[in-house]
Amino acid sequence: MDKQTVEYFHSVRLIEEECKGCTHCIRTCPTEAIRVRHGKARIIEERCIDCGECIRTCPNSAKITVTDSLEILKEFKHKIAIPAPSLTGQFSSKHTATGMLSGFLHMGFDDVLEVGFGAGLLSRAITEYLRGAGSKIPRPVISSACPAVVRLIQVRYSGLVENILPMQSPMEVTARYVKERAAEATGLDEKEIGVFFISPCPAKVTVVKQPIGAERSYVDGVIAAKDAVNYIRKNFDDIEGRNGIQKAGGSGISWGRRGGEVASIGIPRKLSVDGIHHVRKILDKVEEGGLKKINLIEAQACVGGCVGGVLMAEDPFLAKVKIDIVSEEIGAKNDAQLDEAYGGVKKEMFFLDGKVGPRPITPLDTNVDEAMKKLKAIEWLCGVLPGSDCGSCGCPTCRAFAEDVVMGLSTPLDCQFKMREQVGGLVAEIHELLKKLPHTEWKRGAENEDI
Amino acid sequence: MSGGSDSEEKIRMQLPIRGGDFSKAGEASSKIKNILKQLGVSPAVIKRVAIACFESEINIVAYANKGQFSVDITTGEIRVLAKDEGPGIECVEMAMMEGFSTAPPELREMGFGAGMGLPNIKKAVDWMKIESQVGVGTELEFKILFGGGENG
Repeated sequence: MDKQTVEYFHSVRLIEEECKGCTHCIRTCPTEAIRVRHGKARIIEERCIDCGECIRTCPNSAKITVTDSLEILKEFKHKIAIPAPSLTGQFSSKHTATGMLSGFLHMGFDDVLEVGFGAGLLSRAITEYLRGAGSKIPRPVISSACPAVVRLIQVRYSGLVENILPMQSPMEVTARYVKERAAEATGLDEKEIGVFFISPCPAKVTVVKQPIGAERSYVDGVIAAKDAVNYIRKNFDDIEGRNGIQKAGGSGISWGRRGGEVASIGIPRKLSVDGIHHVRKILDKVEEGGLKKINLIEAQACVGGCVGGVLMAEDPFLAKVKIDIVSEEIGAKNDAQLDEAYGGVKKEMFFLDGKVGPRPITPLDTNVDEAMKKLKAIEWLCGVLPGSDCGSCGCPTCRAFAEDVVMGLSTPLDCQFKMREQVGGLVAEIHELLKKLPHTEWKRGAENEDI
Repeated sequence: MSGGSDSEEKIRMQLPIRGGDFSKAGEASSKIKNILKQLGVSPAVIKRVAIACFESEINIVAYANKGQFSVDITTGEIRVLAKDEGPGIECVEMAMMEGFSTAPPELREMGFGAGMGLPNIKKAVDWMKIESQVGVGTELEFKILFGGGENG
């Protein structure tokens, strides 16, 4: 366990005092990464993909995302906020784009650039790549934009890592673009420039601390979207609109909701899927050799896409409508600027430095014979367990419980039903023993045979 | 993977498959796939097993009334016997050819029946045998070795 804690950073954490040991989270976790142990919902580090489903489902708000506080801004000379495209959906129509972006300057940032801008650059790069050199990647290509989905593939679908689009996320593209530009404009060292992502979800926090397929992240801190939204809504009347802030294009902003990404890529036959459990169904199909005629899959862990992230403030369906309205209003208005910016950047900034490797969960045993023995024991146990998946043992399913028992993490008597059987057996035994009366009581005992 | 077929450890499973129920199609294949992941079988081999199992499961769902997988897993290989009670295949040789399909139009509308089922299975497995009797059913048996690579 200790080794794993060091190996994997996770932004999803448990506040022990708040956890009542209920079974909501263990059931919704898509990778069966949670067990209730001694009354608390513990996360199995190597399985967690930081999707945030447990945060969404916890009725006691005991699961949280660890993000950075605004205090961290003090560590940098020049601070830049890069709000996710989904931020656009968090405000009412009185909050204009200029108003929202100026809100970040009011908050203490020196500059701001929407990640929707980077998404606009990236969609140009992806289109070019998939039409050209990227045509060699096995179909369907799976987008790398949602880090929870990428982790899911690494952990549960390691055979599909080859299908992952080897490109950076809009967040990374925007961060790098803005940092290099600021270094040039201010003359500061890149280390003195802090880029902060305003995030809809915990998975983005994790991927900044532990980049996938990249040496480093250009993002220096991650702030929860709801905190920023709160601040801007509260202070909106005092926020002075600054003119001339670079803005995203309509299609870049639409990356904040499901379908926006595929709509912005200029190739045919694309699929968009959202909600981690449905994403799993689609990945199952791909693993079984299906969907080969699909060129690109946009898979997002949250229902509705990033607007459905657990760090969002607004209802995802309302947020989507707002994004659609704003995105349509902007349309192609900023496209000339985006084309110019795209022409001015080095194309390698869009690509991952390395391959996305598999990170499969540990098999039952490294020795195949032992693994087979354990598997047999699991199958046998599954046959004698009730199969009701009641969760009282702290495991999501009877099968997961059987696995834990065989791995020595649970004992058979952790199952309520097994324990009752055992107790029932003991009671029957006691009953039998009670019938054995001392010889002096023999006569009376015979009269009360049914004690 | 180490260990040969001489090892005594063996897992045997019977997985029933319902004909016509596309909403449940793929469940038996998924179960097999997950077990191999737990055994630490390589992703490339799992992919081949997944393809072969899924294609044969879909064949049963699409054409037969009912069927079942009899699965034998040892440390060195997986053997699947997919047996169904269904219409059978009139000419197995033709069915093995790419693009040849016996699927009725309604199945093709659902995206099945491209005539790639059996050829795809053949490509994925190390060994296969198919026996069919018209009006009775089909027995498809295949084997995949865990030590094999991408193309077996």
